[in-house]
Amino acid sequence: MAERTNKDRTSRSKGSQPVIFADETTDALAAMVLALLGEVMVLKDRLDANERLLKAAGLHGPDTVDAFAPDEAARAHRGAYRQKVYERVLGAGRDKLLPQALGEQRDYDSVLTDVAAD
Amino acid sequence: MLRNAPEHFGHAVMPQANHDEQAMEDHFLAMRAWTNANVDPLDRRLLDEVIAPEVEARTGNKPQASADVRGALEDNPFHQFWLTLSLNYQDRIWLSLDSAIDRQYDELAAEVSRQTASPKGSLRTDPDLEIPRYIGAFDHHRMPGSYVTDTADQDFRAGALYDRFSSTYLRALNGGWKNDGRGHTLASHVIDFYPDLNPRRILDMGCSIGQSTVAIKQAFPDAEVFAIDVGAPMLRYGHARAEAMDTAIHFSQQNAEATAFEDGSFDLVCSSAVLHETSAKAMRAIFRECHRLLRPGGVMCHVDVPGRHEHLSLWDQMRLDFESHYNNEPFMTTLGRTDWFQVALDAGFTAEQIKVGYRRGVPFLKPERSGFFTEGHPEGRTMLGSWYACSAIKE
Repeated sequence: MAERTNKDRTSRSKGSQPVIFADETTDALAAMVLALLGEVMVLKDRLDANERLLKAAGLHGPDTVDAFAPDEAARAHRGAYRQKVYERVLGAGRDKLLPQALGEQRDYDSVLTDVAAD
Repeated sequence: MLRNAPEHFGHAVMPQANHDEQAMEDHFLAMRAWTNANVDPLDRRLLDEVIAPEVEARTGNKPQASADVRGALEDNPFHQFWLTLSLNYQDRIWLSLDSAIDRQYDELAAEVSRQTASPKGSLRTDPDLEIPRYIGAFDHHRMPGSYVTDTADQDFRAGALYDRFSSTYLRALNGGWKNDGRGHTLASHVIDFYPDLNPRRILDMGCSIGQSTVAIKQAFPDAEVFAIDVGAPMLRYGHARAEAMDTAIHFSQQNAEATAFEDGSFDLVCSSAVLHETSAKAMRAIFRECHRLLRPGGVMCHVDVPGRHEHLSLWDQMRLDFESHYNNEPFMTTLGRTDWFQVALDAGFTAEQIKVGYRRGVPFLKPERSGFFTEGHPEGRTMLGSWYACSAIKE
């Protein structure tokens, strides 16, 4: 496994961090709603893939899914992907609200003027 | 490695997607298409029919430039909705693609090593190269870590991320997974205007991962092709990508403003979508460096984003400003106001030898004069699908 570094540098972009709506909290809510839309779309695609695969294989249908109880391995698997979903959805809000992000827009505004006129 | 996305099969080092990763990419692309089709036209009407008249009523002057309406527009909730859709798309797609690269990093690292084990081209990095402020001070197009951050020894992540992003973002618009439309367009421009050039040595400046460079090499297969960029992880990936595509390119980590190549050592010096990520001072230095590097009779050619302020409606000006204000492309909107002819003239090229105008984008070599024009869109729309080009012969 390659040792990976500089994760702090690649976890969000450096530069412009504007507040769009009335305040950063509203922006965070908008970011989380939009991130959720992505999660829902992926989920729909995955269900769609499953239903088509199962139908093609002549296997179980919705009733079997209703009666399904995940075992320990399935619960662990779900626990792991849930963390990633929270990172994508709630992380979208967190990244908007970090005090660092708010200061960075002011810094970027000044560098924008400098570089454009450089 | 998973190979479930035909549009990304491409070459051996392209990051691949599993089902959910591909579904998320498809979502981002579809959401952007929905926004372009459903929100952009309304935002344009908001500006033209509500905001501009309000500003005129308040100030007594008809707004002429996007700066005249920026404040009023950005206070409007509908435009805030447009802005938030644009920004969230741009921020979150990078993180989504980056996590897919994390998942397959070791697999990709092995492939990069395999592809570069006995190369036709070459790679030279320079850990002491000073990264110019217009690259190092912020992350262009909100790409976390930009072109220059190493996340491992011999890292290629930035290049892999850029490759996957550009082939998703511009999936059908710039040559599919090759994202090489600009390279074919540039070569078409050169062959159209300079059919007898037959370049033997070519330099591609700001080559990124060599997407355009490969197309240029295909147009001039007998030429020795050199490519430079300031980003080491971009070059490491670009080297592996070119080798995987069986194309000999000599990559080195250099700043286009001042390269180590000798005076008069090239027949063609070019760049594709590079200038807008530099600065006014750097653009002038790059044009001067092109002049220095060309032999007499050699050709300079740059193609870049098509937005020209003098040709744009208020909304299209605002769309271009968005790149500078919020997408970490500070010079883009200034480049759209810069007189490229004058920059070329100041760099030492003579007026009779300088061509500036739009070059219609082509997905393959198509050197036709009908692809070159200087008029803007009749309704002031951005000339998407075309590129703004500047070329000149060194006398």
